[in-house]
Amino acid sequence: MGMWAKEFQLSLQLIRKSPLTLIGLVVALILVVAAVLAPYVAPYPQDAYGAASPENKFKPPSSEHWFGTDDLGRDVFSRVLIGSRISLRIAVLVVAIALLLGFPLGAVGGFLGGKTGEFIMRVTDIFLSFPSILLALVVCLLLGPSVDNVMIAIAISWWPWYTRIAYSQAVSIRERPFIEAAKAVGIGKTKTVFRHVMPNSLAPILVQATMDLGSVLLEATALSFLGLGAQPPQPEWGLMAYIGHGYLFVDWWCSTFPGLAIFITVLAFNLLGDGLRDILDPRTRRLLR
Amino acid sequence: MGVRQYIIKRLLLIIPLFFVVSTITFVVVRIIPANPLIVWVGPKATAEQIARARVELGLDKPLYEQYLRYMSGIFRGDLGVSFSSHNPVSSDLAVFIPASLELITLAMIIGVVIGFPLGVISAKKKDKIEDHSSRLMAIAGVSLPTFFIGMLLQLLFFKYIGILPAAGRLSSYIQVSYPITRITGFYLIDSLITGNLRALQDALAHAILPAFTLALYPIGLVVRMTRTCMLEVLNEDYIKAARANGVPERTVLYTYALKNAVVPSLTTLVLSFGYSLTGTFLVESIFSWPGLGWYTSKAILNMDYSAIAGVTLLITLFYVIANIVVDVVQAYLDPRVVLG
Repeated sequence: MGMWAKEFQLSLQLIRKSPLTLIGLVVALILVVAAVLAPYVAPYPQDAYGAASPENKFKPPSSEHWFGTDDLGRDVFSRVLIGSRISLRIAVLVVAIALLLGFPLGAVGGFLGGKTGEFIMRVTDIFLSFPSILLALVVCLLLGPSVDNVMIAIAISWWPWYTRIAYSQAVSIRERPFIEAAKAVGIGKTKTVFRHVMPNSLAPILVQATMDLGSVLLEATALSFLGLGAQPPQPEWGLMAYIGHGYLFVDWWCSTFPGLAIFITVLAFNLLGDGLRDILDPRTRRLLR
Repeated sequence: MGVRQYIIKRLLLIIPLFFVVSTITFVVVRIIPANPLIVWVGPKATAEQIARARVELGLDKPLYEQYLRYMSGIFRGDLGVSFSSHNPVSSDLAVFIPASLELITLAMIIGVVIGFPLGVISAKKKDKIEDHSSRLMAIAGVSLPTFFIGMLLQLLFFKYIGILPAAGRLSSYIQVSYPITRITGFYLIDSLITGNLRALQDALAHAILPAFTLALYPIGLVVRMTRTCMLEVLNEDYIKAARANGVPERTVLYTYALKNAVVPSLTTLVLSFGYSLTGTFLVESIFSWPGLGWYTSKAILNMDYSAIAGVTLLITLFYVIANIVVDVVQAYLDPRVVLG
């Protein structure tokens, strides 16, 4: 058995020992499966993007409509279920873009150091000093409100965090003997960064990315709630909560169920990330074993 | 480097940043797809009215002249005129900023009052049930969508228990019968110093739910930070010595040990409010709190670009200054931090 397979098996064992991490993992997996199967298992899939039936509006939760129906008579459960595709797509894509941009940049900056490293970090600082709501406002002004534009805005404000982590990792890895060895046998700088520096700084990046799946989702739904993101009739959770908020005191279910869905999803990612931190950290890893 | 030199250097760096941001907002406001003139004159305007408005707003001038006017205006504190309210943006902001600041200040106080003791308890009872539940609460706190918790609180305290108002900053009958004299723009302070107790009570009741909602996320951060910092020092000799000398446990925990947690926790608290600006916007939107976020979301709906540009500039400035303040305070409280 290879070293990687062994380590992976050990990680699985450690996850099984930590109940909160396990809950996070299981819920996250259920969510992914639900998102994939949503159009086939949703009781009223046609309600996701329209199909208003006014005679059904504001039905309280029942066996027929688990989460009730909304202001246009659409089944809230089906909309929440199918909306999970939008939410997971936002979270995964934004984190992926931020990773692809930030991770190599930080690794190169930290490995090379000097003027190049300094320059990369200054640029990163500038991007970090803008709150994402500001970027979202500007992007929304320029391109108009939509889910994709919210993703652009969040990705722009997110990548610097990975650059920072990758940078500090690369700075400490740079001094390790195996990098010295790579240099001695004549391995080029580019290859060293991608084959040796980056794989060795993967653990903290992975932890951050898992937690960020949740944070990105919170941010995206918040921006949609403020009218900067998804537009009707998209079954986006933040937008559904916003529309439902107008009827909160009479028909509480329209807004609370999408809100609950966001909470559970974000909580799952955070529990998973928090547990992964202990499991992937070599110092605590030995203790847990 | 001396503190004064450092502050001057950082303040000077604001100028180029501000220049860049204001240029961006200028460009954005000028190349926007929707015609701002329509917002200005209303949807049923005649061609003549639109032409007149174009001259009034200086939009007929060449672009570089508009740019110079805009930039020189900014440095005089003139952010242009709001297309929808027809007031200068700067005077609009002067009305809405105190409302936001009042909410944020209250939330900070709640964050300190709840966050520190919870952190101390979970450090004292490390790995006990109190510690685990506080960890779970902290994770839940950062996972809860702001609008979700806001809605739950509204349902609970307004609809079901009925002891707190759901929205606004003041009841309308108080506004009529016990109007607050405007001094600072902070309702709580103004009503207190003018002795307007009925209004004070009403303003406080309106502020509790939004302030608590806003405080939840920072509370989670403060609890975790306080716990970590307390654990670092609880095994130090001076703590053991204090305990051996019979100093009461309360004093040991809250005076000797907590001192080490105060600086990092307060920094986290202040920074988290800076970074959770979105949270402020959300809370104001949910509770119809007439502050900056409420103003901005209205501006977004009305496509009031000069208002949005003004808010953007203001937030940038606020952000940069908050960062400087945090750095200086940190250096002042912790001699290990070097300004440079």
